[in-house]
Amino acid sequence: MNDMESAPHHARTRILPLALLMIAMALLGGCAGVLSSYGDRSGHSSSVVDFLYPKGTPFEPVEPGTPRIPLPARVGLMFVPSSSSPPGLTVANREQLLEKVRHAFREQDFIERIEIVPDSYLRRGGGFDNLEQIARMHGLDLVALVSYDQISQRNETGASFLYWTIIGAYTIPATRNQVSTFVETTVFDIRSHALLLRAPGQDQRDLQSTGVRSDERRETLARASFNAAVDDMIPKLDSAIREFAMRAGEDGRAELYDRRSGDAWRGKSGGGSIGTWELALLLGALALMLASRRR
Amino acid sequence: MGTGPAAGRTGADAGLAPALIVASTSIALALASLWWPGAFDLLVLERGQLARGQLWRLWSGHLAHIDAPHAALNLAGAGLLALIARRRHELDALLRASALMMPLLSVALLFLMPSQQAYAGLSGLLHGCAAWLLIRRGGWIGAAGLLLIALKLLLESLPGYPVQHGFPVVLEAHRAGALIGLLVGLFRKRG
Repeated sequence: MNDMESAPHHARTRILPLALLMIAMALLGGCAGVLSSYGDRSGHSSSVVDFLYPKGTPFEPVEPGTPRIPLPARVGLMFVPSSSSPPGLTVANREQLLEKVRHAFREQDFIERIEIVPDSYLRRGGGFDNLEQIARMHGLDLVALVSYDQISQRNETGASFLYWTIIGAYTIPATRNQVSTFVETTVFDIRSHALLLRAPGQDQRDLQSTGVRSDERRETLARASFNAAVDDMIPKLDSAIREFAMRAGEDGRAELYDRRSGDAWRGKSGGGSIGTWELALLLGALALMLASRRR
Repeated sequence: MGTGPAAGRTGADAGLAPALIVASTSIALALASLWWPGAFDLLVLERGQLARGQLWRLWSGHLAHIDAPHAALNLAGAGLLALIARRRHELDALLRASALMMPLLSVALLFLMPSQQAYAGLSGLLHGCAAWLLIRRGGWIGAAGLLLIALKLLLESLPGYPVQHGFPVVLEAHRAGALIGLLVGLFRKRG
């Protein structure tokens, strides 16, 4: 009888530690699973093509003829609207980046003024209709659209098995965070809808981090990568603008004309001229010469 | 070449006919550049066209003018300098020096101002002519005149210097012109 009563008791005492161990394993596995998802990938992009030609837009062939562009030009600068912004890129960051692009334009003598257009003025898939509204509002000739495509990826290295110890997730940098960014500025003539120039910039970087700090590090990395891609784009944009102003008229891409005189645009030009007081000085010198001769 | 006043006068008279031809051609080109846009396009010192071998622009760019006041002021200045040179019996030599200073000044402008695409006007050369005449004159008058030019150039380089024209005035042309005139004058004096 005693033996019969003690059998279930023994079974219970054997099952209980086993059950506790399994629960503990499951909890630990859950924690580690949260930290190490064996790699994930996310992307954020804003596409010029989607903005200018949203789905369902009927195909309209570009009107034949060379676009006529008045110079010095008035340019609007804006980010192409997107449903999601790269992680860690705040509105202030975006404005700073646009300021950098604006600086590249401002240094050119054929740009009269360049205005940063707030995101709120643009709607997703707004197309040229949206751009024309903005151009009328600000008196713009050209628009410079900044688009981006950023992909971030997270992978665990071999050492990530130590995340199972929990302490490892806080101390072992076994998560590899990778971010690739591609940015591009495309400049369009609003009247003719013609693409005038484009300049790309790209950056790729990675950083190892602990499991728990991976998200935070990925945000920092995304922001740094965006900045670096814009920095990579600026000199290319600078030379693309310069090349456009010098060659566009010659290779027939566009007809550039001086907005003040209506004549063909010559680039930075000027004249050498003396003033009236210099003329008076010369006249004085001549008079002195004549007077001295008479004496 | 004679050294006495009579010899100088004879030399000056001999140089008068070519001087008149050069002066009338310059005035004609300057006026043509004002009223016929095609002439301006053909004469203006333009970097791109020069690179394609249109070397005459090294000279003609100085004769092209942007508008009537621009041409009037520069041609009046050229006339006064020509009268001064004639009084000093150096008009012929000044014209020959100008033919040398014009391309030197054009090349200097293209090198000094890589972003400058086009230039038109006589004032750079006028500064060169004034410096040339003063260095040739020598003495305290020459030194005082050169000092005056240096002061004027310094004044021009100060920020906020008022420019009287409706187009950007290339003040670098004045500086480069004065320096080239000085060097050409010194070279000729030694020669």
